[in-house]
Amino acid sequence: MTRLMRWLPALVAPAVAAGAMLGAGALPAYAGQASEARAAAWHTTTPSPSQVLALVAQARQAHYSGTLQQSSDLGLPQLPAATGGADAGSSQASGILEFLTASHKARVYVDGETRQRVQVLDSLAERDAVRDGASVWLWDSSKNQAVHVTLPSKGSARDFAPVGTPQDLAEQLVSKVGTDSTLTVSPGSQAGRSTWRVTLTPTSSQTLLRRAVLSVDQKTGVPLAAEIDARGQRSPAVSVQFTSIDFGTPAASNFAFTPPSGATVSQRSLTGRQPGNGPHAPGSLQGVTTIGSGWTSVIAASQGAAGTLGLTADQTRTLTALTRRVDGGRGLQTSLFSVLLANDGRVYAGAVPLSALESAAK
Amino acid sequence: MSPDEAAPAATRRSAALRPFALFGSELATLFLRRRTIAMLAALAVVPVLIAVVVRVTGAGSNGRGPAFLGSITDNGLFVGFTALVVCIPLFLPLTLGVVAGDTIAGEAALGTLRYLLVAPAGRARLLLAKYAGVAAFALAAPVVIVLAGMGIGALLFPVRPVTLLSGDTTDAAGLLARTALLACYVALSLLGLGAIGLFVSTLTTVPVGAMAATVVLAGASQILDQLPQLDWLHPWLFTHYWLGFGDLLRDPIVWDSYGQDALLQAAYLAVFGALAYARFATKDILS
Repeated sequence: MTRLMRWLPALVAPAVAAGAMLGAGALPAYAGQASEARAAAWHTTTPSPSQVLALVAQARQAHYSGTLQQSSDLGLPQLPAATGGADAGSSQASGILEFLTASHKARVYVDGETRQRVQVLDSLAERDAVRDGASVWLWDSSKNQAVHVTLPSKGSARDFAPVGTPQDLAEQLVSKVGTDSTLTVSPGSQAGRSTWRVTLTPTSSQTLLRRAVLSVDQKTGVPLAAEIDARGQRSPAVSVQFTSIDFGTPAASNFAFTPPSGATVSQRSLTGRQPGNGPHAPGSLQGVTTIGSGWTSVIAASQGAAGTLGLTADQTRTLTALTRRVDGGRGLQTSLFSVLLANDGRVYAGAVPLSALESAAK
Repeated sequence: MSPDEAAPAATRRSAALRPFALFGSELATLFLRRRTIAMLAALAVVPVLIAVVVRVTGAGSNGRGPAFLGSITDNGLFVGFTALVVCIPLFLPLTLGVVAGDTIAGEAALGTLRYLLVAPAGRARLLLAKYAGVAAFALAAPVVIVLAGMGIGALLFPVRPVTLLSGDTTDAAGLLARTALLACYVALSLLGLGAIGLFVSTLTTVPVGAMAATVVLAGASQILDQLPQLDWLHPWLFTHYWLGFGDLLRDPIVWDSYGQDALLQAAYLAVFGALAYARFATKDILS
């Protein structure tokens, strides 16, 4: 009997430990779902989508700080993280790969429209974008590199941030809404706040985009989460969300940046190529024509693939590794979009299956 | 059987008067042992080696190599951080595995375990004292690495206010506080592995086997942590937050990984501590 008593702690401890870890939010997803259901029970009057989006527009002057979690699951091959933070950022090409396959954590400080800071918390490294008025500093600790950008009059530090905030995605969403999608609003919760979830669903079933969900804080109108779901995939293709947020005014010291001694400091004018590790958006190509309309539209760039994209040899190699040979060129199929590099030098891209691009190219 | 009940009243009183006598003697035995001193010395050699190599070749790292390596030529204090990054995956778990694996199995192999249990201490207290020794070593090891690194760095390279990951610089007081926090973080991160080692050590009378098993588990956990296909498992691996000490070098300090790590290590400590107690308290001590 005493023998059994002595084994008792060993039998109880795993259950207690697992319970404590789950309860303390080691897996915040579970906690989120539970409180979502609770939030849904409270509210009876749901605003219209346009009312929620107007709330978002008002939030430009808001001040807050919080932790952002960004993750992408585009169905691309995942690479072991063995190379570590310092190596991952060593070249632009692997930077793109890293953005598309890995998840990121960032801390965001926002004080109105003119003072923002985004800290991307890499393992043993950090990338910062600090804006105070017209002065923007970009800092990369693994390269020990600081870039100073002076803004003309308008613009936002977030344009340079390696990770977009929900606000950015909200604005892109608003501009995309047309007759080809439906918008619905439902109550939800995010980072311990009650939110309105604006869900955009394309009417066409031909597009890879299943739906996009934007969670807006009910009180302040600050977007707290954005999620894009692809057809035929359970986990979101792209997701950006605040895991914690504080609506107090962030300390002024967060927006002051002085490049450390020994760092490489360079000045950059705004007309130059914008830095940042994000993938090149298909819409930024030169000489673009659009085939079709709505979510199934295909963007075609007319002139030389590698030349127009401005890819280096290193990036071209990555692109070749990512794409596969298809009828009439090389194609890249992700869960959310596909890209076709045709043999004649034209580039096709769209939120449609690769087969749709192939037929558009003919 | 319970050794407590067999203890004469007089010696029981002395144990009650000096509750930390066992802990003290355990710590003294551990840190006066030639093997422990040799392991700490070997850990101190790592930063010296790094600093001397960088000094002799005189080359920057161009962003390759372990984190902070490129900053050494500019600021010698970074040698300590670089050495920690280098030591955490292998040398720290290796040395800690030796200490933790030896706790019970080592005494059993030497035939001294039964004499320890004759003393009016009780098995639970002996286990606690042994684990306190492991925890003390877990703290001593990173402290030795960082101090040796900063010392040799200050000798061979210029010393300036340290640039944090966020690009801000910190003064001497800030650096001292952050370094102390950092050593505590690394020590905290090793507590789970220490508990695993303690448990494995109660399973056998062959200390080398317990040491090897502990070190292998640390390696296996790190390998699993590298596989993105298992990312649901990662928050549960005791090695997952080992390199999270970088969060202490940001401005302002990010406390997330400290809290998550503490919770995770506490969970491992509870589970494997309870297992070790159950096994050790019910075991027939034959040697």
